[in-house]
Amino acid sequence: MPRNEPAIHTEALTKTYRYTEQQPGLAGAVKGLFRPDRRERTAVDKLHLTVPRGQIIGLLGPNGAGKTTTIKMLCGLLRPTSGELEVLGHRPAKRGYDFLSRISVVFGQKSMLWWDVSTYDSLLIHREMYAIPKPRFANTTKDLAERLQVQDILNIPVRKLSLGQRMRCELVLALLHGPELLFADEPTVGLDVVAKLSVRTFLAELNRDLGTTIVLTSHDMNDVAALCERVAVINHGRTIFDGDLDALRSRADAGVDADLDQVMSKLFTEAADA
Amino acid sequence: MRLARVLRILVIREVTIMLHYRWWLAMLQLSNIVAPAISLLVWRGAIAQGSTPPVTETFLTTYLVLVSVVAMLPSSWTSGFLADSIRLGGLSSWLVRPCSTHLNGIANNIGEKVVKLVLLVPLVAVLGIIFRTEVELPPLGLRWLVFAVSLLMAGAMTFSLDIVIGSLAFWFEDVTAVNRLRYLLARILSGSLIPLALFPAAVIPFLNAQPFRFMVSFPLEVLIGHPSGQAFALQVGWFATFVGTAVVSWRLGLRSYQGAGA
Amino acid sequence: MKRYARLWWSCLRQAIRRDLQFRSQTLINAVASIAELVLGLIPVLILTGTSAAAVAWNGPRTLVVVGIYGACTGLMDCFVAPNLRRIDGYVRKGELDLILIRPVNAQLFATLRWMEPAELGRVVTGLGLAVAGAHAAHLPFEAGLVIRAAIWTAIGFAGFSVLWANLVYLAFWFESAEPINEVALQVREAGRYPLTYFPRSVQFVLATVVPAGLIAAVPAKALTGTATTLTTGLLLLIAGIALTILHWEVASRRYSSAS
Repeated sequence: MPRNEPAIHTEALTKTYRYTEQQPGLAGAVKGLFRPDRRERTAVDKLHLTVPRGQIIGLLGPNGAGKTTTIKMLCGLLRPTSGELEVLGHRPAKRGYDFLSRISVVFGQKSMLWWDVSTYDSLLIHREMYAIPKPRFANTTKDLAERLQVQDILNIPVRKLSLGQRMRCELVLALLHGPELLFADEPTVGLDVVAKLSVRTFLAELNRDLGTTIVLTSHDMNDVAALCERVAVINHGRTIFDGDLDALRSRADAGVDADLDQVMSKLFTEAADA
Repeated sequence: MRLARVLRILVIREVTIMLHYRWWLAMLQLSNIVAPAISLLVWRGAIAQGSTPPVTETFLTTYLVLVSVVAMLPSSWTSGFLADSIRLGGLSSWLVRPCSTHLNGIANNIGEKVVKLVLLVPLVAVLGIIFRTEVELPPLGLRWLVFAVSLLMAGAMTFSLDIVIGSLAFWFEDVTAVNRLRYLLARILSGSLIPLALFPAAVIPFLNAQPFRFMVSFPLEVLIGHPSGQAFALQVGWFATFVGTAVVSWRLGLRSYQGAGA
Repeated sequence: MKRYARLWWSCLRQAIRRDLQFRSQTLINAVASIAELVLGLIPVLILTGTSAAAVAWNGPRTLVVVGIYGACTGLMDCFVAPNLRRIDGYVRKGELDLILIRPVNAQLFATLRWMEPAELGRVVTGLGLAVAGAHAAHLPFEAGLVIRAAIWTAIGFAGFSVLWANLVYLAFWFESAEPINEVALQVREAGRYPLTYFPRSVQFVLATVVPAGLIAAVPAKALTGTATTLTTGLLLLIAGIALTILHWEVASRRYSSAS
């Protein structure tokens, strides 16, 4: 695999959802059965995006802008309607073993850990799933647990952990197999300041020490400011901005110390007016 | 090889979790044995009072004593979980890992069976001891082996049906009503309430051909009856149909998956 | 008393309004409820079909039993069962607090709060079956006998509900009592069969401690004019209700002390 090949490459990536609208009431349900009112909605519209290896990119946009759909296509959950999509040289929607074992996903709102058992038990399952040799498993677990300071809680059933503890355990699980590409979907949502900072520091270290490419989505602009060398802003399924934070500020005619929340809000409303 | 190792560790984890719910499962087993016990009581009562059913009393008693275990082993409870994970988006967590969610479903069913078997066998044994004079099991041998194969196919069929019904959640909001209907039909048509041979002669050809027979009744017929070679062929046919339908509906469903939530 | 009647009425109206909102779901549930009755008829008819001459029961009379059973359990599943199924959750998740703080009798409220009108489809179908069966069996139609049968069914209804309630109150004592509902439902199925088919000892149990037999089998017999007096049944029922109230008192005290 050539190392200079980009981690993610999309060309005119498009996803349209088909849905049927149903009139209320029994009459509507019956009518919908025979003459469904089919509609289409374009969630992602001819998106062009290339992410080189080793980058931390923030994918931003208001709710419903199409960023979740984009992420889902990138990690193989959704099949694109049209356009080109290559991630680590693979077509994600095929969900092949080689592809899936080189990426990883962390959902802030959804747990990948098994609820009723300890984190360590979940790690054992992933060891078999990703066929990780025992010595490497032991080393990685020790290293990740130290970095995230979870050595003492690895053996506690997940349901008894606080949200902050759980999120750090989620990261251990997600990175156990040493993925080259990590999708972090709102990894800090609902966390207190301390936990938030530790997650942020960890992601930065991960990128620096192991060269892991990270695609981050977050509504917390402080996360973005702390981590991302590049941001792509999506609205109505299109990229309306792609560049670094300084460029983002100047694009919105704001100074270097301008509040990023205000910058983003201005950008979104401008896009809506346009 | 990797998948076998994953399955092994998933089953171990399932058993550990199930053990937390052992009393819950024990109670569930109690409810499983009540229905055949009632059938057993009324049918033996009827025979004692001079009724002449089309099967021998020994067959009837043995059948009803064993049916709760034989119905439990190939059963599956995956459809509800699967439908929920599709509707609420939990499926996403599985799709991003190099391991099928169905491997987890299989492990869940196996784990549950292990624990349930330990709980149910004593209850069945009690029933067997009460009616010991009329219970007759074949000696260990080929027949038990064929029984096991038939039971495995029955399990694969119910699991496939679960995947098909669960997959409906890719297109419809709620599959509980479908499930309720399916269990209603299965209860009668699979022979888990009374042996199919007791039904009126006019409907027997239909009962013998329909797929639910091969989910409970047929393995038992293999063990304590004399099913024809044709019936074996029919089971293989239904088995292939069910598994095939499950594979197709799952593939089609994944194409239209939208992954609710994150 | 009047206050309780009005409260119950408003609960019923709310349940109907809710069901009208989810019409397709309600329709499917009503159909399934009726299908349950019809499919449940099959094993009973097969049993009586193969042994009609021997046991002096016949198809039409069996229809009466299954019909009354369907109607009575339909009422139970509409008005009582949805509540009993929730008790375990009330206790485990601490939702009983929301009932205990109301200025009404908590036990009564916890038993009658929820209703599922869709199950009533089975009541109509069941009564239809019973009437058709009675007609085909040439049973004499006498108001006195019908009232007698109705009272027996009422005793069976109340008696079995009382048993079920006591079973679910186990939730106060044990953590995983939820499947007890399934056990109760399965045991109730015994009431589908004419009592004559059971061994004597089981007949006695089904007429007293586990009154599934009183739901339909005894009332159907009463219609033929050959049933025993009502007094014992009524006395047992009153004793059962008294015990249940006591059980709730003791058990719910345990709940408040636990939380």
